[in-house]
Amino acid sequence: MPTGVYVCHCGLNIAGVLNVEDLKSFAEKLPGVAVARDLQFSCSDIGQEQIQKDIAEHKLDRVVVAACSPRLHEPTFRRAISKAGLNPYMLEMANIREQCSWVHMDQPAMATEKAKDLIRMAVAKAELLQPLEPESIPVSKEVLVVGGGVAGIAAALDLADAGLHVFLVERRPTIGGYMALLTDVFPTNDCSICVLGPKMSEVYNHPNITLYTYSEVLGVEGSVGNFTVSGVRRARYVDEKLCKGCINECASACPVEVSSEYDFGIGKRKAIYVPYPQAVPLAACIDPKACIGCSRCAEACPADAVRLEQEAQDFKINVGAIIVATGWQPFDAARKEEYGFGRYRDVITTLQMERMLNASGPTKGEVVRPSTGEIAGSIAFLQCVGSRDATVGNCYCSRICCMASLKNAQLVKEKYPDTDITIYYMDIRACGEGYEEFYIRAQKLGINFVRSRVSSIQEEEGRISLIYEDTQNGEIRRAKHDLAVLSVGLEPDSNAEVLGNLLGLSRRPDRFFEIAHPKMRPVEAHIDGVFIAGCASGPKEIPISIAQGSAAAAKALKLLHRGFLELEPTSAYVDPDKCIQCKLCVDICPKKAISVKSPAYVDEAACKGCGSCAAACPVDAIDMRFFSDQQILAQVKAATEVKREFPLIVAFLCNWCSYGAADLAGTSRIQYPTNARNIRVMCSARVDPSFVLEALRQGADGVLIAGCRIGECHYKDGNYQALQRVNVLKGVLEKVGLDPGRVKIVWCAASEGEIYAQDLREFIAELKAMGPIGTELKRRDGGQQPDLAQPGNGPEEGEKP
Amino acid sequence: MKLAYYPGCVSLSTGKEMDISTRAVCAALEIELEELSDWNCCGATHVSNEQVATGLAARNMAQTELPIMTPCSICYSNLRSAVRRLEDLEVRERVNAVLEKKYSGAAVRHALDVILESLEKKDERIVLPLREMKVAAYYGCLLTRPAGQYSPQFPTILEELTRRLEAEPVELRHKTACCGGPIFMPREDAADDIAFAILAEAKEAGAEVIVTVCPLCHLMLDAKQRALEQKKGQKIGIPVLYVTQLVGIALGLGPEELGLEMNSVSPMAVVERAYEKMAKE
Amino acid sequence: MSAVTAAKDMEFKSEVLRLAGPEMQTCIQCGTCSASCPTAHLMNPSIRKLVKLCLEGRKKEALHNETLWLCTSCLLCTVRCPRGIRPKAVVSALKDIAEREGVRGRDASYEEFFLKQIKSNGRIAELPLTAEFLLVYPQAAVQSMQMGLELISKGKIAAKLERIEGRDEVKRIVEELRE
Repeated sequence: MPTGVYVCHCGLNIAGVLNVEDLKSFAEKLPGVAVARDLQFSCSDIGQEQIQKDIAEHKLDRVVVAACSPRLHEPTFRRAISKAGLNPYMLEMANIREQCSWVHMDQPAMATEKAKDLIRMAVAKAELLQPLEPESIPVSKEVLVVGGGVAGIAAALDLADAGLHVFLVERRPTIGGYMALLTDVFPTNDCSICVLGPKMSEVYNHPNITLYTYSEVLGVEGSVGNFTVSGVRRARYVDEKLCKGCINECASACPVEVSSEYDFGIGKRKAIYVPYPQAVPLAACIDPKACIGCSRCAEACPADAVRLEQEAQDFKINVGAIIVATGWQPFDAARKEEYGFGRYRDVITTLQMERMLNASGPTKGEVVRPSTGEIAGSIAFLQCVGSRDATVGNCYCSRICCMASLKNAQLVKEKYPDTDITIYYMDIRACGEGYEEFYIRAQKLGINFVRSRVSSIQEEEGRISLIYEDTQNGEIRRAKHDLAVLSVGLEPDSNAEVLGNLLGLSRRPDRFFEIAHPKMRPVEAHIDGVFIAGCASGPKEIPISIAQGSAAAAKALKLLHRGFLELEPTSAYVDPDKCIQCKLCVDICPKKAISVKSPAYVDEAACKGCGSCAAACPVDAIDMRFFSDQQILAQVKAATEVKREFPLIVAFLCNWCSYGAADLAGTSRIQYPTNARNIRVMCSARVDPSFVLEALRQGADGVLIAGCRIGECHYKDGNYQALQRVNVLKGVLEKVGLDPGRVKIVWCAASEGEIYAQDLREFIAELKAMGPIGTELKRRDGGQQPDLAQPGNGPEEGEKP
Repeated sequence: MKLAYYPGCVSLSTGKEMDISTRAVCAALEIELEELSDWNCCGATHVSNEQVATGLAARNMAQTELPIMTPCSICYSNLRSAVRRLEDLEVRERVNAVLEKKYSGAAVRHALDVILESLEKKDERIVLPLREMKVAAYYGCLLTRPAGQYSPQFPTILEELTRRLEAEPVELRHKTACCGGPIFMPREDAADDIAFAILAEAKEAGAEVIVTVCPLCHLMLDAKQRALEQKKGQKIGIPVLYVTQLVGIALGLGPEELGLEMNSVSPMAVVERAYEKMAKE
Repeated sequence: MSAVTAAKDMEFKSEVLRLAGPEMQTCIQCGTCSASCPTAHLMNPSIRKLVKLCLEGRKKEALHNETLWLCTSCLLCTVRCPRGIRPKAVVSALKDIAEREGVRGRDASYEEFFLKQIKSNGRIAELPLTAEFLLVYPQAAVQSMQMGLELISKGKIAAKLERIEGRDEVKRIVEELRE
């Protein structure tokens, strides 16, 4: 197994601190090493060519590069060796820059010794590397879009136009979402349904779109590329194909009138109804809660489309990707009791105002006081109702309400120039193209702005009375208006909870669905093959929802267009002979990738290689293709082979956060002692208790496990699992007479280099207080060796400065 | 049901009828009360230091294992706030370091809630239904604040209780507004204005009785009512009853059992009207 | 402003934050507290401005004003604040600091006598409390007489001074928990 070792100077970044010559000659003598070189810049073309040349000349079958962090250049070197004919996974890197030369600048001798250990560990692991072949699986080229609002429509149309088949599932009897109900929209005050309506029809008529309205998703199985989705199409009690959408024949015969959800309580509809004239599909449906079963609609229908006996139908589809565009719901204004919504009729919400302003709405475009039906002469808009408000648990800004009120105020002012309009606001947030200009336009129209947050509303002498402090002049005032419009915020649609649970989506503290990365992956969910678009992941205005729908479509297209999926060969696998079918792994897997077949079976498409199952398996029946038990144990052994300092710490760092934090400590040149020998694992949950025990048995004085901060694990809750295991481990140590403090678990985000360094300093101090490993046993038993310690690796030997 | 009873300082002076009627009503409803031993003042609204206020409350709560009931909203609010602060283990440790009996958690209830819970709908113990009696429910501040069991601004439990007694609740806009009580000594005028606004609204709304749950509210609206009438030049003349007195009347308890003669604005005419009405029916 | 006074003022700010809670730093000056306050029309500075004064470390203005003593502890500000700040706790913190630093006045005296009585007796009795207060603020005599007559006629003035067994414990609570 000829191994090549390359020690990088990185200019002076490494060579300025470490004795690179010394490292090279050290590496040469390690078992299995055929060639070792020091290179000025190993990542440069010259450096890469040297490696490739050696692979050919020395018949190397594996390569160790001692240079920067693998998080930086692992892909570079994998490509380089693969060009020379090696399997790309036959590479191991020793991080002697970020985690050595940059953080131990004032102790070059000790740092060089540490670098030797790191190289020995890398060579030991390299010995055990196996070539891995990315496997590919066939995938379905169909996509499920859940939610037929503007984001879902954008996603569906883009995918369908690109040639993928789309199932669009909408809970309501029509697609169009909230946008279809709005009057004119900002910042250009063009008619909402006029721009959305054609898109809705396009969805209906598109040959690549199957539209299921009045439907819900009830089950999801499988994983990226191959989801099986089941659901139900609720009964409309009207044959969708026969109904001509004439709207009034059936409804005018219906004797039952209820409040219309499409008018938010200010308009009525019948028990049989078409949501609104532009609904898609343009077909009536019967509200079973309101219907009294009199059949008058059936008699009145000229197309004979009413089907009172209709039943719900189940559906089952196979899709490769799922786009969640479940949208939002308005904040329930009645929760702000001090504003009197529900108590005072002339206190309304933005959405009711939208419907009033809508020419086809319940007041035919007139803005009236609900209590009297008269045109409102004086109107107050109250901003931030249910947003930026800790008392209702919504600390976030709903982002669209300032613009919506500016727009509605303008529309009223244009229609009724004499109306006295005041907007009560804390801050006007008009951040978007043309938005600030839109604000200025409102000011020029003579709309009043008062910087305040209204404390309460009372009805006095038949008018609405607002109490507030004008914070710009410090006066506490009462102002009377005919109508108060509560600018209600956006909340995640509560109906989406079911789907979220089915898919295993996580939520932010604001209860919206969490995206995989708050900046870099704006439309991806934590679950592979699942994308999130529009307000499902937080309040957004129309153009951004559309952009997200299209972005999600592009992501789904990228994933599925080839018809197969290449899998990272880093997954877990089960040794069927060892598996005892205890199902521990099934429960623990954050990606739901392991199924309860006997023996357990890992869906390698879904597995992301965190390794928690391998750590949890009581009989070691699960191992990882990369970061295998054997490889990690070899690193542990190499780290403790020669003990040159006290305390010697073996540290396991998770790839995403704490390894990143240790790298950041390097790039920030945060200085800390040289005691730790870091081993990278994908997740802190990968750390099998046996690794820890082995490290201590080999003479390490302490073991540090570092994971992402609680709540921020990249695999959902791997760090909790690691914590549980550490707690159990501490008990074990106590039993055998070792100080449980010798194993420590800490959390740091990738941005917390200083915290990582501080945690390490503290741990070193704690271990110094404890003394070398075994001290406590000697104290107790008068010098007896612990069960874990092996002769020849005793603490005294390593106790050199 | 057995509860620890925390009467509060006013029960010994300005709020005697609150204490008397609470004990009488609880006895009638078979709620056994065991007075907290050697209880101390909760600090009312005059202890600015939260740690001290928490300590005063904790000492009271450490005296018993039973749930603690108080008829006074100020005591109730203070005990509740303290329970919340004592959830912080650091605070608890500090406070316990000073206490003789250690605090380890407590359940705190207002007499209003205890009584409503023990009354059935159409309870046969209600021998004098208060039919057509217009009762203005005035909560004041501290029954519902800081936020807890009830809505902090628009609670309805007093109206609910009023309805259970078959009386007619009168909704006050000011029902959770402040009575001015906490500053009435040093800031008389400010306090008077606030208190009078409540009385004036109740008058305008046609209330026959105002019902309160706090001895300070009671003091402002009842004991000061005559003085306020003189100062503002407007007759009010509305009796102000503690909720325990109102319930007691409906349960058929006598005026002396409920301390009705201690109220400044006599409720006797209203009570008599209720009896007359029942006799007619 | 000299550097020395600036440092001292920041000390004051952090003391208020410690007593009233760190949420105070998130104040957006929206005025919900002022507009909810039953005595706001008498206050200067308003409760909103008082928070700002504390955050700016303007100790003198924050401690020497009528606003502190006009607060009725009704907590409407606290249940309505959109940032979860407790403006009433800010007032309490300022009163506490004012009392510790010996700020005098009728209002402070009332609170002082109240606490003194708790400390020595464990409970409050209105009569001696009022008597002591009238010595510093005789203007309250008319009201007190009126009220006193009303209460005495109804037998609602405590005749004897109640003193509890655990007075020493209560004294310790008042003294040791008030840092």
